[in-house]
Amino acid sequence: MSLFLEAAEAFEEICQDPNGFGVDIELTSPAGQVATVRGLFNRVGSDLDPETGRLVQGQRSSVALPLRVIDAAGIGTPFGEAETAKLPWRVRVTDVRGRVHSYKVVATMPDDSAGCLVCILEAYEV
Amino acid sequence: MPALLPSLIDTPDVVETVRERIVEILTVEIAAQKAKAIEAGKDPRLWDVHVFMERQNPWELFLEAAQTKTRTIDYTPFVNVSFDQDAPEKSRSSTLSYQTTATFNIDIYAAGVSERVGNGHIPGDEAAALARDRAKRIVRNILMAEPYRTLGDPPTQFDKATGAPKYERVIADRWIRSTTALAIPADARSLVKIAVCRMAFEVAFREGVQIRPGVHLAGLHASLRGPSGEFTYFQADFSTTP
Repeated sequence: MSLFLEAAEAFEEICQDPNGFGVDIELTSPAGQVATVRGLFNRVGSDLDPETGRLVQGQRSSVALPLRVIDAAGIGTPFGEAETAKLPWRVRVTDVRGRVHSYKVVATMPDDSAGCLVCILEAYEV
Repeated sequence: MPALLPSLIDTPDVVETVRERIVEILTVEIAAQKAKAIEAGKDPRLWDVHVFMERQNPWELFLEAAQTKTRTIDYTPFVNVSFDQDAPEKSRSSTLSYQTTATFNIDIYAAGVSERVGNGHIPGDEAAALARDRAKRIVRNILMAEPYRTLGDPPTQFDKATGAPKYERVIADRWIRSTTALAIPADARSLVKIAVCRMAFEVAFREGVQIRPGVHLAGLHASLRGPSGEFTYFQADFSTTP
């Protein structure tokens, strides 16, 4: 087994481990197909510099998903949809405080070597 | 060396008053615009803009339970009025006062959240830019409105009996030197998008200085003649009523 394949499997195991950092992430495609995938969820505070000399405190959020698991779900691969006439890829996830968040995928960073897809998220109102 | 200034320095400079006047005008007129929107049967939130002065920490953006539209913050756009610089004009100044033009930064911030509309969506960055432009439109229309050419500073008024000035206008004019959209770093990746622009708002006014008590003159005659006195270059009388 190649090291890349081992890395992909290790990432999937990390996400699947019920005692680990993985969480259930609900993916919805623009066509409305829904799949729940185990992945990593990140949501932290970050400062925005709008060049006025004053910082705005914001938050950023992302999920990391195993690409092979997404492929197996058969709903396609998420991407940032720029076309406003179409629905974006959507993500629903519950944080450690029990709050359910709705996001849209605004950009993705696929790592086809390690089989990982990082989705950059943006707040989304349905 | 004895102190020469005759009185306590306890009144704000004109530049401080001008900054407060800008904030006051925006606050009053925005409230009036919201009332007019309600009268017209329109959503007053589209005319709402919070007005701050010299805030260093203007905003904290985060979102709770977006799918239920339960927000923990207010996304109303806001403006932050701050002093930038003051540029006195020496050639137009005197011992008693100086003409100056001060620049105030009016920073306009707006936020946007992506939202589903039918089978499409409004992206958060576009929503933020549209909200910013709406706030900018309101601010510009208020500050550049004709009644506020001198930011509400009334004309110079004279005492009818003595002819002496009762009040001298200090604010001469105002204008927008530039409005610049400020770029948010591409790697910001914020959950809530923000859009910002800076309006460089210039105000020309007269700033006074501390003076020693003077003596009222009944009048002043001045003339300038040639060496032999046969030619007068100018001659003028300046009369005052003591």
